[in-house]
Amino acid sequence: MAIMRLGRVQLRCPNWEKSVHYYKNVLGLIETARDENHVYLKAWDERDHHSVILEKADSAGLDHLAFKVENAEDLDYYEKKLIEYGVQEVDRIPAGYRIAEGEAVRFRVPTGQLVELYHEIEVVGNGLPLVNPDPWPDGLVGMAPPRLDHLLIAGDDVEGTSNLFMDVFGFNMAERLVTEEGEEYIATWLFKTNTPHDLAVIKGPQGKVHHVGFWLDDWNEIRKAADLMAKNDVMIDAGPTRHGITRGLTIYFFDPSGNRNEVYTGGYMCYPDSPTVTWTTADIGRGIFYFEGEVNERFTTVFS
Amino acid sequence: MSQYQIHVQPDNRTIEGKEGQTILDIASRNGVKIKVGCKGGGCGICKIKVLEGEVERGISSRSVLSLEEIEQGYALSCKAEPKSDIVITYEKK
Ligand code: FES
Ligand SMILES: [Fe+2]
Repeated sequence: MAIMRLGRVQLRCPNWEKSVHYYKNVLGLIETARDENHVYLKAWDERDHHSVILEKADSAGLDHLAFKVENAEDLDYYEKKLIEYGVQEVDRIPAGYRIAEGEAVRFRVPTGQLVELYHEIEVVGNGLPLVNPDPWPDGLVGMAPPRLDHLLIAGDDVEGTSNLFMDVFGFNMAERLVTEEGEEYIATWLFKTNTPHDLAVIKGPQGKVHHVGFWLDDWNEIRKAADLMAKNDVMIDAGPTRHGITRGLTIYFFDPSGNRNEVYTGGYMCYPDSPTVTWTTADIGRGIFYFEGEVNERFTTVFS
Repeated sequence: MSQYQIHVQPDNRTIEGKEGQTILDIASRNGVKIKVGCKGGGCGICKIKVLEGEVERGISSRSVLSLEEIEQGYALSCKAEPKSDIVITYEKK
């Protein structure tokens, strides 16, 4: 009876052909379906039909993000809970609205993004048998992340969105960045799984996305990902480096439509009884980019 | 392949680029410091105004470069390529 994980993001891509090529061949996701205006993709180790939907659109940015819940009944339960919590826009998306998906509950968070909850989705497996499997399947291309990991959304009411996820869905706060007086949240890192963030929220332009993060297994893979970016003329934003916050190892870059991506590894285990770590803006440089000790202007000003 | 002259207004310099190069690439090769964000036409950080001449704007995000702005001459330098000699201006920080 709960959210299990970040299940998908839908990203808008004006630079359509190049973006589809990039997500499949440079980032290395696997196409599972397409219609006229969408391409459905999954990371190789995910078993569900898709975790990324690309949408042919006029503007870049995030259409919605979605969490997979454990049971079909969770949809009714959380729909009621959201309405009771005072969330204004709570809707149902009917089964079959998108390829391979069942019904979803959709709502808007205070920072402006549309969030969905779903349970039903076609299972296609990860290309490996369930008995005596090898560690990875043949035919992987590009950076080939095993899974979607997290995303960072922006908006004005960081506290409102953070509280909603904690109060309604039982998320916990792994870390937070606060103003020096400690009165206002600049950013929060929230988790429902055992990693320091399934969702992070930062003060910034309303309804926008800062980045979508994919998992890689180790630091060496981050280096190889950087090689692939240089080789394929991918615009690198920052890194490879380490975050003070979450302790993650990371590199940031942009898709051909201007949406920021990240590949990420490391970090630590989180439990519901883990205390919240606090960073103050006085040390924001080390918090964001631990080696450099300062944040580049692009990183704090570019959203899509 | 055609060569084009780009007159950059706040710098008051003329630089030269080839057909097929973006204005941002030509600028950065010549030390003209237009701000760079996503290089994907998605963030609008690299916006310039074309005062004279023709450019091919390429594909970009409507939310950061509206049709109205295009009419007024604005372009995203990471996507726009010169199609004639041009005069541009941009916001220096
Ligand atoms: S650098 Fe982002 S639109 Fe040009
Ligand atoms: Fe991240």
